[in-house]
Amino acid sequence: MKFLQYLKNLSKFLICFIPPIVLIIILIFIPTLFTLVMCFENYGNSIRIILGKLEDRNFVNSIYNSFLYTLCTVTLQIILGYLTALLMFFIPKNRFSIFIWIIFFLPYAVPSTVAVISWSMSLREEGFISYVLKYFFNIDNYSWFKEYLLLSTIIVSVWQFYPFVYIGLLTSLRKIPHNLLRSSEIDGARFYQKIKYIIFPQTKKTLISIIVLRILLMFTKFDTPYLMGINNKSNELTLLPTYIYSLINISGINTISASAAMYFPLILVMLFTSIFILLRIKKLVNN
Amino acid sequence: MKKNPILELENIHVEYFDESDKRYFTILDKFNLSVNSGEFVAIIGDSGAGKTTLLDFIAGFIKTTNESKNNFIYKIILKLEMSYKATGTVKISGDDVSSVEPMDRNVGLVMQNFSLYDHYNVKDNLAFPLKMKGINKKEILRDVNSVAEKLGILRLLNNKISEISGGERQRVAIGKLLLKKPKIALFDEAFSNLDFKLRQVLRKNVIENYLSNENALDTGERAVLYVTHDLMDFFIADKIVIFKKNKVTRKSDYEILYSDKDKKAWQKLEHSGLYKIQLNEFEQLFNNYKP
Amino acid sequence: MKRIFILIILISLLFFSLFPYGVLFIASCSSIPVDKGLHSISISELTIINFQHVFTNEFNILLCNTLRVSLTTTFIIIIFSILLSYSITRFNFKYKVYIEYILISCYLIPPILLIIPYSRLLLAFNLLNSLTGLVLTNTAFCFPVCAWFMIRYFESISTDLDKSGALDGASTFKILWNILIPQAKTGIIAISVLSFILSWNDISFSFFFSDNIEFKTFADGLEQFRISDPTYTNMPSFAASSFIVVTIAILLFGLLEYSIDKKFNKI
Ligand SMILES: Nc1ncnc2c1ncn2[C@@H]1O[C@H](COP(=O)(O)OP(=O)(O)OP(=O)(O)O)[C@@H](O)[C@H]1O
Ligand SMILES: [Mg+2]
Repeated sequence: MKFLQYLKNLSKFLICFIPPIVLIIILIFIPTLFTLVMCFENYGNSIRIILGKLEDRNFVNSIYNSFLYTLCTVTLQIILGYLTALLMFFIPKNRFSIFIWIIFFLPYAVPSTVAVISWSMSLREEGFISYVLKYFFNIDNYSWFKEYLLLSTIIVSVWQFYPFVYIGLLTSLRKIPHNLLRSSEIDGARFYQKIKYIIFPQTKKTLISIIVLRILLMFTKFDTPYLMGINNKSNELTLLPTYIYSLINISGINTISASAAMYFPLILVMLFTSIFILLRIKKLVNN
Repeated sequence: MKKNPILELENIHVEYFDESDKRYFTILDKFNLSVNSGEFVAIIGDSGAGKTTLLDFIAGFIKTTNESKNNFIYKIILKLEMSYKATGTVKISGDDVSSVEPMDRNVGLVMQNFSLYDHYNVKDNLAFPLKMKGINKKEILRDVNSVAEKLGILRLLNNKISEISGGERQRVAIGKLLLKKPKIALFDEAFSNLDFKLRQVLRKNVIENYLSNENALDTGERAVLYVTHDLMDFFIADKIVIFKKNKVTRKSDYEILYSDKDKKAWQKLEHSGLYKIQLNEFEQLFNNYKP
Repeated sequence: MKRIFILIILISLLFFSLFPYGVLFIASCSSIPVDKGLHSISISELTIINFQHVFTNEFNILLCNTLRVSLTTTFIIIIFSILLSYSITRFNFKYKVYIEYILISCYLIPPILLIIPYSRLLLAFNLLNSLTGLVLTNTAFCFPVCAWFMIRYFESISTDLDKSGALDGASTFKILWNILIPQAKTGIIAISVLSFILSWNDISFSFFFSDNIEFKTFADGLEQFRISDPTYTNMPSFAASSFIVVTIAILLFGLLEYSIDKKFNKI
């Protein structure tokens, strides 16, 4: 009897568990493994290549740029996203809030191609932003896009991806029981105290996971920086992914293992930090 | 000597917005009540009769919406965000607080679902009102310990909220109110999860002591409003507010029974015919309660 | 005072987020090439003629492909991530934490490096230059993060609900269908938005795995189109078609959010 019960449970579990696991193994695990093997394949050779590349200023630059880019975009995204989510949370529901929701969500639904085109139209020398800056603040007619490529790439990326933070945080804000906020008001919490002591701790878990995801995503972001670069027709901005892409492009698929190898140490570092942070989430929440 | 009223409610009128009908319906109308210092007011009524609504009004979660105010922006804001309409005044110790935020009202509330902060442990929950006042940590710890001892939750202080039982949660919520020491304490079925004996002990220790200022440091005026379905609570009530819900219009009528020289408030309950209670049964309960 | 402060922040954020969309709109309405900058366009020069030229054959194919790919991807991802998170959070087995770590670390590998194994995989199944191949690669790319979010959601639903459902006599799958899925509805919607957008905006898979316009998605097709026109002479019609695609995506999500909004309307 007990055995039958056990079998029944097991079959239910397997029905749920097998299909996604098969999907993960075939579509994700095997290709990832393949990539890793590729990294290791001629590791000795790859290390030589990396050591050689260390003299290449572009390579060193691209690492530095990548870190800067990730740091700036993630920080700004989190700040803007949290602010928007809080705003949407505190603005009472009404018949216009759906439009506000849509407008805040809009950047995320814009394909990178379109976003880059649209921003570069306004960041050009003849563009709208330079025009406004010239008109009101008498700042010279820069082509912001050319002069400050990293800065404008950061602006575009923040614009593109802060809705991700906003949506994630808003769903977790909406899960806070309404009475908890009321209760804190009765206990004498002011507006900022309410945010500090109730809202922030209640959303901390989501916030940390979003930060981790954002860091990983921005660090490996390829399309926006790449499109910004080719729009500009200069190689001034090199991030790690675009650098690798240029290597593939120049020297063909054969050196891919070398370029993969270049990525590999960084992947390892990020893997460990993210697992470390993930482990800490559980501890943070428990305390 | 005539006492001054500590809480005065005048002409309270609340309408809620019904999502399915797309119109407002009245729930409380022309409600008047005045409570003197040191009084214990029991509130009973049908489910959905507006008891919680009344407490929300006193606490300040439902604020008066003044439609006659001739201000363009105000009107837009009103149109956008109100799911209710309310008029009336609330006075605490003579001051009109109708437009004051809940945190400045000197009111405490134990909610029906005793919402506690589940990201804190019991001790931090209890300490929260004091922390908001900016009291230093040593004093907070001392006060928290004394209140926790009184409520019998001393050994739970370091537990998480999810690890304690319903009755214990209720006691934590009550403890928070006691630590805040508000002028007006509102309890929304605050003892409903406790067993008979504990309820009796707490009623004596908490409410009566609270009203008589026994353990309090300051000697301010106090009043308790208390939503209950428990007969025992009526014995000590100075006033009983009875809500009667009209099923069709959803509006509640109310009646207030006062204790006077001849009769206690609870003795009038029988004659009101609202609750079908036999007086002798009631008296028996009362006699059991007295010693 | 507080309200005015909030209003100012709100308006500036709204402007920030709407600004490039507005630029796109003006550009798509201009009758002349937009070399001189948009501020130099006068109102009399605005026209809607560009929108009429949008629905050419090519554009229709691209749009249709994109819709098919992203809707299918979203559907697959939702089904599989619900199954996975249900089995992980509701059944006890050893090593289940590690599945989460695997999911997250898979997300770490930059898609650029996955291009090669994927192209070999697709070649083996003869799926290069097909929409199925795009669906598969997009699914592989979005699944880890979506499943991870879904697990978080299922974790936050109390097991008391399962217990009460079981006491009411519901079978395992009825509990899943009638209790857990409605509870996780916001999460499901958020994930569907995420996966839809990721595949809707995808450039690289379409760029690497299909060379025929019949099997390309919009973002990539647009990029090809732009590369072939470096002097921006076709800018207005280009802007018009982007404007339409963005608007379609936005309307879809407006509808979705509106439907949850109605369900969860509280004060
Ligand atoms: N925000 C709201 N919007 C619309 N209707 C509401 C709202 N809050 C309460 N109501 C309605 O008002 C009525 C009174 O609610 P209230 O919570 O005051 O009842 P109660 O007397 O406390 O009932 P109980 O004894 O069950 O707690 C109910 O019918 C409820 O449906
Ligand atoms: Mg109630």
